[in-house]
Amino acid sequence: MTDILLLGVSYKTAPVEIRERFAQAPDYNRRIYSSFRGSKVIREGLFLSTCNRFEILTVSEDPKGAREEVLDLFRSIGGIERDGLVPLLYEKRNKEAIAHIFRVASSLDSMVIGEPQILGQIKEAYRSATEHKTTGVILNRLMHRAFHTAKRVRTETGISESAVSVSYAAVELAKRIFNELKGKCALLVGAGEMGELAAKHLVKGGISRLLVANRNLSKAVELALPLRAIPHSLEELEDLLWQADIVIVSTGAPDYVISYELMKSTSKRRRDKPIFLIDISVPRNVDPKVQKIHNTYLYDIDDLKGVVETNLNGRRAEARRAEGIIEEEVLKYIKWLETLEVVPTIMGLQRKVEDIIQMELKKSKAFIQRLSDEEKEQLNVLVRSIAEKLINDPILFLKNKSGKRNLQMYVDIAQQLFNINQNGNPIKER
Amino acid sequence: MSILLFITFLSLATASLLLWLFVERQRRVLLRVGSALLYLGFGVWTLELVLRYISYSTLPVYDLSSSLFFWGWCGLLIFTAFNSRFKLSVFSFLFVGCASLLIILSALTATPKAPISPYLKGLWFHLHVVTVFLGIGMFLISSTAAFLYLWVDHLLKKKRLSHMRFKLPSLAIIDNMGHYSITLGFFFYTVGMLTGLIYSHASFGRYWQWDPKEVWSLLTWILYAILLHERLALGWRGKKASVLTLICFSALLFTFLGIGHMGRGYHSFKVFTGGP
Repeated sequence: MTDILLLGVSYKTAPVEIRERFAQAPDYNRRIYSSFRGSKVIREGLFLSTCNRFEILTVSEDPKGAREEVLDLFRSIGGIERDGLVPLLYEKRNKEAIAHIFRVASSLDSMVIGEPQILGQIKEAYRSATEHKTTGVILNRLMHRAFHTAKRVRTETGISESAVSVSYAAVELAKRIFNELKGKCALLVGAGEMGELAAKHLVKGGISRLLVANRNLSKAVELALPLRAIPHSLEELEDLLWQADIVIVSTGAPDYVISYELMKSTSKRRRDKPIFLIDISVPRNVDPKVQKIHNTYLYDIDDLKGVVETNLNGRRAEARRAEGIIEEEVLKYIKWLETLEVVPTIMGLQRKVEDIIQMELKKSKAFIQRLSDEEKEQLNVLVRSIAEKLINDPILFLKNKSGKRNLQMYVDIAQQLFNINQNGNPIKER
Repeated sequence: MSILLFITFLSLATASLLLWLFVERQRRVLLRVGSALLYLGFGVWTLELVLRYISYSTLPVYDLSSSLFFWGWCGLLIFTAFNSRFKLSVFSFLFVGCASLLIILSALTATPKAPISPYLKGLWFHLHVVTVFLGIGMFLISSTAAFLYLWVDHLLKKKRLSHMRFKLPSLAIIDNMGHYSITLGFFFYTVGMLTGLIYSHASFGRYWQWDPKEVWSLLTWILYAILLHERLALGWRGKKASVLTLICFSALLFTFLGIGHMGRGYHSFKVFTGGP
């Protein structure tokens, strides 16, 4: 029986001090691959190393032996004694291992559910394993199914749709109001770090113009340069507010920088053009009353955190839906694995038939040589179609039995009936 | 309620429900089935309209029930055209729900078939009715957009953000939609009033009779003209424009339904069906 085994440590089971030992171990790549290749037990192997997890996946006929070898690998790479290691590890076999890989690839097991990087990391791990030729039929198929599953989860659920960081939430909210950032003007007031980050997100999101205002003009210039923004002094605030669609306020001022009265008069000048104010300063720098003005939307840091929290909850709900997809794909893969068990017997059967044909043709060589080319061809077709038709039903029968409980019995009977051995090789006639 | 009308109502109401579920659950299959039902409903509605046209051998618009019927149909016709451009599932749910409501109202107010006034025939009658109804069909869309705008605006202001993941359309898109539908609606409504003048002259020999419906539709026209002016010249948008849109729409409803029902003047539904 083929056995799929997965052993790993992740952020769920091991603290960062342990995880970093695996990620930083010198030359672990080569050590793992050469250990796979040198192993008599492990038929196929692959490993995944990210900052949040280190996992080794193997295929063998001997689960116990494979487990020992993988544990040895963990010990030597992590530099941890066996007794200390075991409680940090999780161990999954067959169905569970398959489901785990699918879940990891779909980012359901990630620290931030739905984050997109993990799929790339798994693809990279798989590519590296194929380069070292340590994967085979089973892992190749498994990984391709994992990529397929991840894609399904991404397109069929909303798992990675919503923003889960404060500055990205600001961009998302801006899009709820303006639909797109193209052609819009943003204003960054103050030099707070969070504000700068949010401004960077806006620039990345496609904002057309960015203005930077600071009490200290030289500071504004300094801040504007890397963002390719236009620096202004804070005295021009009223004019700047008139131009801006999105305003990020992040100063250290102890009171309101944007008062209700200022916003009210600006709003008139703006002719009700919508404006989105993001106040990430503590204490707050925008009077909460401005929210009452038409087409003026104000979000403070707590509001943005609230958005992130709701989005995370949404992702968790979507993750529950994704589990259904995972289950479906695992079943499909297991079904395929089961057909794999009858494959050697079927191939043995086909090889045997081919051998018989060749042998019999050889016996009648003298007769065949007298035939014309066309007749030779016809004879060949005739012989083959008789032989193929004869073994067609037994093959179909075996395929239909794959996955059934008494499969092994039928495989045995077929092997005895046609006199082929376990690996599908014809048994030499005595 | 005829069987065709019933099928229309059923498929549109179900379509609306499925589109709402799509907004909430984001399953593609809901959108697909919902859209299919929407087109089915529209198709059956069209069939019923054609049958009525043949039966009356003119546009079957003569009383409250038939006006609601034709209004809803015009609205849905424009909507299907709009929908391919904007693709707003939330809006679809609202508007299709609105259309199925019109079907029900039309069925509830239906009266037995009676001979209709001979004036309701001819080219100018057709032009007048079709342009007016296309105009008010557009206005129906603009007020749905205005309603949606106020709703999304409210959600954004109150920070009710569990709705964020419902894929609500952005304010800019909804406002844009309102802008388009009011501009086009105003155009059709104006043409409708002008053809009405000509139709009146052709039928009664007078352009303007100070009939209550004429006066009220002029008032409604002025209201919409103000709205359009504020939008185009003064750059009104968003909340204020949406509120004004809803005010204009209530005036329109009164002109269109209220006046016709009060039974005075030659536009009255009673006159059309030759009632007492």
